[in-house]
Amino acid sequence: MNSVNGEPVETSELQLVEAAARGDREARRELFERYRQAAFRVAWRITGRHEDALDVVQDGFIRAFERLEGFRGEARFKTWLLRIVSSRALDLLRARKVRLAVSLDGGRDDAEPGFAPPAAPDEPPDARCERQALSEKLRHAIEALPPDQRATFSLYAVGELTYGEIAAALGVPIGTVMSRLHHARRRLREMLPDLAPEGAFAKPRGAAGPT
Amino acid sequence: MNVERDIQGLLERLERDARGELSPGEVDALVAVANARPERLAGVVPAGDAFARLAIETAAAPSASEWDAVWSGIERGASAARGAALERRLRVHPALRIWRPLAALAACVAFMLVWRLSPQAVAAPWELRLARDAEIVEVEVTGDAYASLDYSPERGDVTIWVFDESGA
Repeated sequence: MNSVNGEPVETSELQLVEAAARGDREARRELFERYRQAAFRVAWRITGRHEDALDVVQDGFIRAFERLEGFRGEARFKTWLLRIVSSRALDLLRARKVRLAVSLDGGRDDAEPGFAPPAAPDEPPDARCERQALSEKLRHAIEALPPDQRATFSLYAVGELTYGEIAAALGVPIGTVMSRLHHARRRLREMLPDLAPEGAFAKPRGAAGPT
Repeated sequence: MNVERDIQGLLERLERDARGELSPGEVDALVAVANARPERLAGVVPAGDAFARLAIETAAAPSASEWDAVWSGIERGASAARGAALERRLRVHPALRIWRPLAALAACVAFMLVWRLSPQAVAAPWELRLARDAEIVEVEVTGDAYASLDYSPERGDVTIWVFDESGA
């Protein structure tokens, strides 16, 4: 069993990755099913657009599968995939900004009007409206962050990624992740004062923890 | 023991940071520790906060048909990538376009040198033979001289005489 950051990595994932590298369709499908949602969340939070996020996820998986032979298991597949996805999403964001800058019509085309998050089946209409309003507020606030902070917050908000994995995904030192996350939270608190952070808890992942 | 206490202290500071309770100086100190001893924090999941929770709760989720479309695109893209990779491997690199004929020429020169310098080649005698069925079409001489051909049917050969105009 291999270990990453002191934590054991599931052998089944390594086997899946090896099979996927050999072109096994089922293994690729399994990796896709496992990590597509995390990849989408990161891409969606960075690009702010549903269709763009889907494109980024598709492109990210294609690139990841294409380069699987070079993946040696130093990191989890998820971290590796999210690195590709966040990088592509940031590229898209930069390209969109350039397009906007040279656009002559002055129209804003980077907004995604009225996208509703999925509703729970038994959610009352009022609660759904409130949740949608909150979602919109948060989305606008995250979109107002500088790209680096947005990418850091997006990776963090996926959950379960350690500082080391976020740093690896972004290709920056851990201290930079910490600093960017601090500034992103500060800005979000300023923009969304009614969403006061509740009990926060930092924890080492798994039993191994930091050594 | 001290390391554990240090880590506990770091985790507490991270929690306070997530709640927005750290001063800028304390944040700078935390970042400095993280950069100096990254291994201590590499395995730590950042403290959760209300924004992250809301971000997860309100995240958009593609429909099943959208996921199917993405997967189809991945499969098409992967096979296209395989095709492109094969094409890249088969494609002749621009440098090889020059080097290939040069390499062939160098091989020919090397072969000729080896053949010419080999003992067998050096020792090979020149074989001289009289030409048969040759036809002399014209004999040209310069200066005040003229030529005359003398054919001898008995011997089967030709003698070429060149005379000075003066008869010398």
